[in-house]
Amino acid sequence: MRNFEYFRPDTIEEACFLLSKYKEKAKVIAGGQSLLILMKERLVNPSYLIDIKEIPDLDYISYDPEEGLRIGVLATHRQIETSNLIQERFNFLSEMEKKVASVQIRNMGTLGGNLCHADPCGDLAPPLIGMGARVKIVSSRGERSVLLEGFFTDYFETVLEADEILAKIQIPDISPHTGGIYLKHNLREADPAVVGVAAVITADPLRGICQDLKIVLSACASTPMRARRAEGALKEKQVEGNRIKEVSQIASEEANPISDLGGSERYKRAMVKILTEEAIKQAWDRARSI
Amino acid sequence: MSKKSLQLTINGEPYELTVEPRTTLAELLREELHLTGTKEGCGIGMCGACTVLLDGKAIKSCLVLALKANGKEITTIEGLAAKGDIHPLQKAFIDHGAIQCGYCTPGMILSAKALLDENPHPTEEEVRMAMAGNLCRCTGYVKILEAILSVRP
Repeated sequence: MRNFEYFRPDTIEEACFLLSKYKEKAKVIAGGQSLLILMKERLVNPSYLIDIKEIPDLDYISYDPEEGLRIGVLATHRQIETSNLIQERFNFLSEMEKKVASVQIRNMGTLGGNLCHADPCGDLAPPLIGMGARVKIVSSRGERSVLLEGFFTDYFETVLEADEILAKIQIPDISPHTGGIYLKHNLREADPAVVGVAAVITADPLRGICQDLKIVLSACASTPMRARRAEGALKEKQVEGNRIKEVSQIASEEANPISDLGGSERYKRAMVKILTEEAIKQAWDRARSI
Repeated sequence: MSKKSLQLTINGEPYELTVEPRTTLAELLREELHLTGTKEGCGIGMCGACTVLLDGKAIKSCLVLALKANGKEITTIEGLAAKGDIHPLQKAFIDHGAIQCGYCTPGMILSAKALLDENPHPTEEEVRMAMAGNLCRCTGYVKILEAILSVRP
């Protein structure tokens, strides 16, 4: 790892000031579970490292009737996984956190950092996009809020400008009769996804059809990717065996995975089909039972 | 690049040090303080050999800057044996033959300790999940699992 100047600001304002001063030469570090790997490989070589992890009161997990669930940028994966509030109202989120890396990584790593790292193999963005999450972004110039779906722009790239910091993740209340699940295929428990599929479905219980849905894939494009054609093939339709198969086939055709050590493109497409089928079934069962 | 001061507690002993910002906690423990019980395997957070406890929680010391341990309490494998008596987990690993080359063992034992401190009666599944971030390249995991399960009070 190349050396750098290290700052530990006490407030987010101070962190924003440092970032506006050093811009591209600086990197923000929270848990560091993704960034340090890139720095060790010398893929990222910041001259200034701004450690925000000790800034007080940014690791909150709270609920507000208007905004829904609010997660401060410094909340660790483990905090989210074990939060009573999340287990009661957003259990899907606790469930998906259990699938992120290993407990040691979850103890240090933050949800905010995971999103900013923008690895298209990341497990958390697809289900959060499925739930309609937004992120609040701050800088010395002010603040803005963007849909998580529009946050990612390319491999390891986001809409964050050089002087901006992600401050908060907001997840709207889950609508009635809505169920979600994230399924991933990997070789060992703590490995990243070879491919992953999140499905969030809202049922219309009176008509027995799928009223709305999102299918979001990980490790299938340069960013987390919505399988929009597959979604269109199930929306306002009955959810039954043959149609689920057709929809999963469409998702696997829409997916655009690359061949790598995790598997060939063909293998990954086949896995997308299998996981999508299973994810739709399970999300649908949940949607009908809530 | 200027060195930074660092105050932390390791195995109950207070330390006041100055370190280069790029020093990882694993490097600090092994190369500066010669606490070589902590092993570094992959260096990218996959193998878990470098697992230590930070304020009681298992973390991978190869992926944590030493400066991040400022004001914190670190426990390494050297901190487990009290007054010459080895820790019940260490004894269980020996009794169950849960060691071959031993390189993964300090990390395994600290991951298991973090789990048992938080949840003294884990199920087998909970032990498996808690140990998923620790790889052993000699053998399977059955004896390791049995050793940990035998320590439940």
